[in-house]
Amino acid sequence: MTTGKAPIAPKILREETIIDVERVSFWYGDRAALKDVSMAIDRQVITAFIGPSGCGKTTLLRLINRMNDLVPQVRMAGTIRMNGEDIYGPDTDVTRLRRRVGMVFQQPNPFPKSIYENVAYGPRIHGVKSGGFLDEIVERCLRRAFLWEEVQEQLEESAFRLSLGQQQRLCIARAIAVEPEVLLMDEPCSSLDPVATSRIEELMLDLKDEYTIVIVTHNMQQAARVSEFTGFMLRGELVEMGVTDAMFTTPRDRRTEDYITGRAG
Amino acid sequence: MGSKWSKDDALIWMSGGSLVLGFLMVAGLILVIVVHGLGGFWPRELTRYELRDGRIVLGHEMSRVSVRTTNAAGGRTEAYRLRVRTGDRARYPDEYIWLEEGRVAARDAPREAVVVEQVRGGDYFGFLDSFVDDGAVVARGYEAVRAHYLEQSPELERLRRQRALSIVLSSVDGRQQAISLANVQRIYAPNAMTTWTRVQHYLVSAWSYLWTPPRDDNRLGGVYPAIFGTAAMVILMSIVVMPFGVLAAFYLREYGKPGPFLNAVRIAVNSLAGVPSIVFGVFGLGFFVYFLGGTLDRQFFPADLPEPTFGRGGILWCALTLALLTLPVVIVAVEEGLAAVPSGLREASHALGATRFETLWRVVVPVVLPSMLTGLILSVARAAGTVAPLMITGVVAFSAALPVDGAWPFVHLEREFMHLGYHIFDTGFRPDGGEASLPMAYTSTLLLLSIVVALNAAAIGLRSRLRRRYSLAAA
Repeated sequence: MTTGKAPIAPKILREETIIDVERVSFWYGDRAALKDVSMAIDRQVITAFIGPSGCGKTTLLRLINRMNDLVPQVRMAGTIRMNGEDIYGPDTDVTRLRRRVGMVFQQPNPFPKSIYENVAYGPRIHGVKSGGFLDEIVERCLRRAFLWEEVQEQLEESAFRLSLGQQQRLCIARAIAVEPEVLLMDEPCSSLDPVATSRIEELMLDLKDEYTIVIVTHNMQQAARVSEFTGFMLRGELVEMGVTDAMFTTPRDRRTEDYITGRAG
Repeated sequence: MGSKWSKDDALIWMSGGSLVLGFLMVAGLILVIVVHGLGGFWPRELTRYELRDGRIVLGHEMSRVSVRTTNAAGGRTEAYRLRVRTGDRARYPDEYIWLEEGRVAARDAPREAVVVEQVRGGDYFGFLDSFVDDGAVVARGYEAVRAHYLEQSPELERLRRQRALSIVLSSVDGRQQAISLANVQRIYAPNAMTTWTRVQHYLVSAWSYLWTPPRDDNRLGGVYPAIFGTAAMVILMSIVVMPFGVLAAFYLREYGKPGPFLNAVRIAVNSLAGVPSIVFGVFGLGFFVYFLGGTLDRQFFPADLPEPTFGRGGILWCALTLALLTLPVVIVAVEEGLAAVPSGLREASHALGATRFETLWRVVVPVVLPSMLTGLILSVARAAGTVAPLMITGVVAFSAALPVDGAWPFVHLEREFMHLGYHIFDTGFRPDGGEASLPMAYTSTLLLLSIVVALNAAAIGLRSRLRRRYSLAAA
């Protein structure tokens, strides 16, 4: 199914599609942040959004788990479906949606609690009370986030004692502790050094067998390294979307080519 | 360039000077209060003055002031005048007299002069004459009476009730007076004291000041009911103000939609902080005492009318009035705390599928807890130091009954109570002009000041801990 107006971003709904964005526009007050964006995101692959600052990629990402609901004075048009279900529909339980769509933020933002409590937070609010079961979840998620070896001796210590890279991996562990289907990552490495960044990238590649990952990044090499699909956005529009390798080698749109070759953006 | 520098220097000197001046004023104030407040318990020497006109006066010299006069020839003469506390209310109703130093022929400090602290009737200065037991003189003379008194004193309480014991004292000019032992609080001879016994006396006095009720119309005795009343009222106020203040701040910062309504509320809260405290008192009297109290009386205590139960000043109304007064302090402190919570924490919680309430309760509240405590302590400090509104909503100069006691229902919210701040006013500025209680005013001031300073120090400590916590979060 293609939109009538925008042939530059062909969208093909397939068996693999988990998130279906259809003609979404979004405004902060009077300022349009997204203009008529349509795309399909496949399950269990990594999809990257790239583009210059202010192009709307973070806004689009935050629409997928309705984080923009918390922002005052915004307006949205269009539809986003997850597994065919309209997530902005009247029957949608937002907390249930957010449980299915986890998020990792630009700044590592662990809670001012112990490492253990950070991971246990999500399961606790969703009703896990048994201590043994919680211990299991915490260990599994920390292992999954490649953090267990480093922190198993200091689970009761403050999460702020970890390095930034460790904090970000803790945030990933915290996000997967509620067993989401989709992980949204909003420039997860922008405040990290190259070593920490590469560890996060390894982690993403490892996680994609289980989770659908959508990552917003400034860093085109990162998009090229980790993602199967890439969408290039510019001034609120989705200019081009496709298989990452193809897009970086033979972009269809002139503006994409300018951006990835460094001539614009 | 040169002129710019000199302007800069001038500004530095001016601002530095202002700071030093302010500091000196505060330091001076505190010094005066500390010296007078702590000095009040030290046993003063009793001096006997023989005047040229034959009068003899025994008393404490409280101060010595110079009086300059110009005589007819135009020459100046300087004389001194002594302020003497006589402890003799029979002759000098307010105990204090002025003595021209020039008219004092001789003075000495008789070792046997004693101070008798009476339960009622103030201090009496004189000499021990005899000890009377059921009408029979059992001891005579300073040493014998003193020995007899000391021998009895451990069981004084019991003896007082059983027998009609009394001590006969003679004043410095020979008049005799019998004082029932039941009315004797303590007897001591200040001129005969060694440094060590003075220190002992000082400590005992200071201790009993904290733990005994006032006597003799607040002129003597301790301030225990005032300390208790202040604490009880402040606790009651905290119980009222904390939930309201915290919830109001949460609404303002977390739930309310920014807009004209919230701005109006904020302006109102800030204005509330600037309203003179006596206005709160008038409101408290009109709304709480007369309206709420009157309504309660009509509904629940009609049998006692026209005698009011809640419809007059009481500790509950004072606490509510002060809660209103300190509400802005709590709201502002908690709002600042909420503003300092990084938005990333809230987002992280929401992104995990937490509801607004879960986020508030499990993430935001633990982080703003120190701010709440800061708000509490600041409001307590403010409340402990505010007197004006209390004077018309339930504080009294003297009250034997505490707001909490053993009588059913144990907590008496309708009772009038004593307050340290009002105690200062009452002892420092007596309507009868008496100065006997002035040292108490200083001591109470010191006490109140210490409480407020301690609370503020605790608030500052908490705030710095809060700041450390956030610097960690930002690292």
